[in-house]
Amino acid sequence: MFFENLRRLRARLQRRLRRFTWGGAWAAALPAQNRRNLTLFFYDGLFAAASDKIILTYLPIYLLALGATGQQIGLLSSLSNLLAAFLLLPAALLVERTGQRQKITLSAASGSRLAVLLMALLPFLISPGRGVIWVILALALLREAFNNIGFPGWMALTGDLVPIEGRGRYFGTRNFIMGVAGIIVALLIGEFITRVGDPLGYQFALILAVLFGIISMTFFKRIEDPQQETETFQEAQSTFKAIGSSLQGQKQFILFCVFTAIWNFSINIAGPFFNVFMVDTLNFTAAMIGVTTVANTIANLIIQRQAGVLADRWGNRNVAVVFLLAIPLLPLFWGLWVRQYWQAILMHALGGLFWGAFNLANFNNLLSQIPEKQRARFSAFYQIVVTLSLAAGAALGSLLISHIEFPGVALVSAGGRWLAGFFFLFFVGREGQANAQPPQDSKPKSGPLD
Amino acid sequence: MVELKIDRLVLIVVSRSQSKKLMANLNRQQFYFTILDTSSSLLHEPTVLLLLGLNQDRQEILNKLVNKYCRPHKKYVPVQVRVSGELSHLPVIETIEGGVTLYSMAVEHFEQI
Repeated sequence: MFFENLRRLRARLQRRLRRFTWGGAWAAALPAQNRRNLTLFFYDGLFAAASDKIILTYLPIYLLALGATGQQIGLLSSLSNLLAAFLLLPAALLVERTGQRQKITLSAASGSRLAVLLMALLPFLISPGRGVIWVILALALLREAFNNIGFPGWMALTGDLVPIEGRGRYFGTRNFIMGVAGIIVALLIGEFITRVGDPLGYQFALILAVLFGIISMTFFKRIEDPQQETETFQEAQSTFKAIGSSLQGQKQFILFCVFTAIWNFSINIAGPFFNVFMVDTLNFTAAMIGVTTVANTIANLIIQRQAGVLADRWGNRNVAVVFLLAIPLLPLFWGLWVRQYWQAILMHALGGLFWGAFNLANFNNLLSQIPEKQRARFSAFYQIVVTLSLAAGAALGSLLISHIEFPGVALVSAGGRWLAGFFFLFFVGREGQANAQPPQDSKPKSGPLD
Repeated sequence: MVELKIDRLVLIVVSRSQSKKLMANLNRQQFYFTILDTSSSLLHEPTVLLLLGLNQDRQEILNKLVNKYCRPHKKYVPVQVRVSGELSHLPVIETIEGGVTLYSMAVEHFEQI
C-alpha cells in the first residue's frame, strides 16, 4: 500500500512537472508531439540560460584576467555588432534556401560552443601572452558569428513550436525558469571562480558552460520541426534595394531610425566598459560581479509583466519617454558616484528595471512606426541600424577610454543618451501613433483563458 | 430596479486585466454577478470567474458587453531573458492575450431568500 501511494505521488509530481514545462494546462489539448516539443524546448532554454549566463557574465572578465585591455574589450564589442549587421540577413537567406532551420541552428550552436571550449583550453596549451589574447578575442568573435548565423533559424522554429494562444503563458514560465537558472549559476560560479582564482577558475567555468550548452543541444535536437512557413522566411526575401525603395515617404520610421542610431551609438560608447571598470578600478571579484548581474536579472524579471500594465495605462510612447530620460542617469551615476560594492548593486538593479520597461515599450513603439504589411522588411532595416550604431559606439568608446578613462566615457555616453531622448521626445512618434494597430479581432484556435 | 426573473445562468472566465472594465459596465447595465473564483499566479495573467443570473431576454445585451470589453488582442512577449551589462537583447514574439470563455445554461429553479 505504502509503495503504491509512493508510485502515485511520483506519477502526480511527474504530471505536474510536465504541465509546468508547457506553461500550464492550456497545452493539454494539443497533440502529444506538440506537447513533447514544448517540454524539450523548455529544458533546452533552461540549460542554454545557464550556459549563456556564465559566458555573458564571466567571459569579459576572463579576457581581462588574461591581460586584455579595455580597448580590446571595446573592439570586441564593436566587431561583434558589425558581424551581426552583416550576418543576420544572409543567415535568414540560408534558412530560407535550405529549409534546414533546426540543423542550421544546431550546427551554429555547436560552432559557438566549440569556440568557447577553445577559449577555455587555449591557456592550458600555450603560455599566456599578447598573442594568445588576440587568438582568444578572435574565438570570441567567432562565437558571436555562430550565434548570429543560428538566430534566424531558431526564431523561425520558435514561432512554430509554440501556438500563438499559449505563448504568453509558455514564455512567461520559460523566461522565469531561465532567469532563476541564470541567477543560481551566476552566484555559484562567481563564488567558485573567486575561490579557485584566475584564470583557472574562469577556464573551468567556461568548460561548465560548454557542458550546459551541450545538454541544451541534446534537448533541442530531439524537437520535431513542424516545418511551417514563417515571417522570418519572408524577411530573408528583403533585399537592400527593396528595403531602400520601401523607405521612401516613411518619414516617421526614418526619424525613429535616426533616434535609434543616436541612442544605440551613445549606449555603446560606455556599454562594453562597465565590467572593465568594476574589475580594473573597483577591484571587484568574480563573485561580486556575479551578484551585481543577479540584481540586474531579478529587477528585469520583476518589471517585464509590470511594464505591460504600465504601457496599457500610460501608452507605449509615454513609458518610453520616461525611461529614455531616466536611463542616461545610469552612466552618469556610474561615472561620478559608483565606487563601492553596494552602489554597483543598486545601479545594476535600477538598470534592470529601467531597461526591462524601456525595451518592451520601445519595441511596441517600433511596431507603431511600421506599416504592418512591410513589418519584416522594416524590422530588418531597423536591426541593421541598431547593430551598426552599436558597433560605431563601441569603436568610439575604445578610442576614448585610454584618454578620458571610464568616468569620462560614461559622461559622454550619458550626454548622448539624453540627446537621443530629447530627439525622440520632440520628433518621433507623434504622427506614427496613427499607424498603431488597434486590438485585433483574431480568434485563437482554442479557449484563450483555459 | 430590474425585475429578477432569472432563467439563465452564465459563467464568464475573463482575464483580470479585462475584468475590471467588464464588471464596471455590467454594474452600469444592472447585471448582478458574483465573483465566484479567481486564480492568481506569479507567472501568468490571473483570471476571474464571474457567475451571473439573468433573464434570457437580456442575454443579447450581455453578449454585446462581453464582446466589447473582452476581445482577444495581440501582444508581444520576450522570447528569452538575456541581460548583458547595460544592453539587453529582447527578441519578442507575437501572442494573443485576453478574450473570454462564456458558458450559458438554463436555470430550472431560482430562489433568493
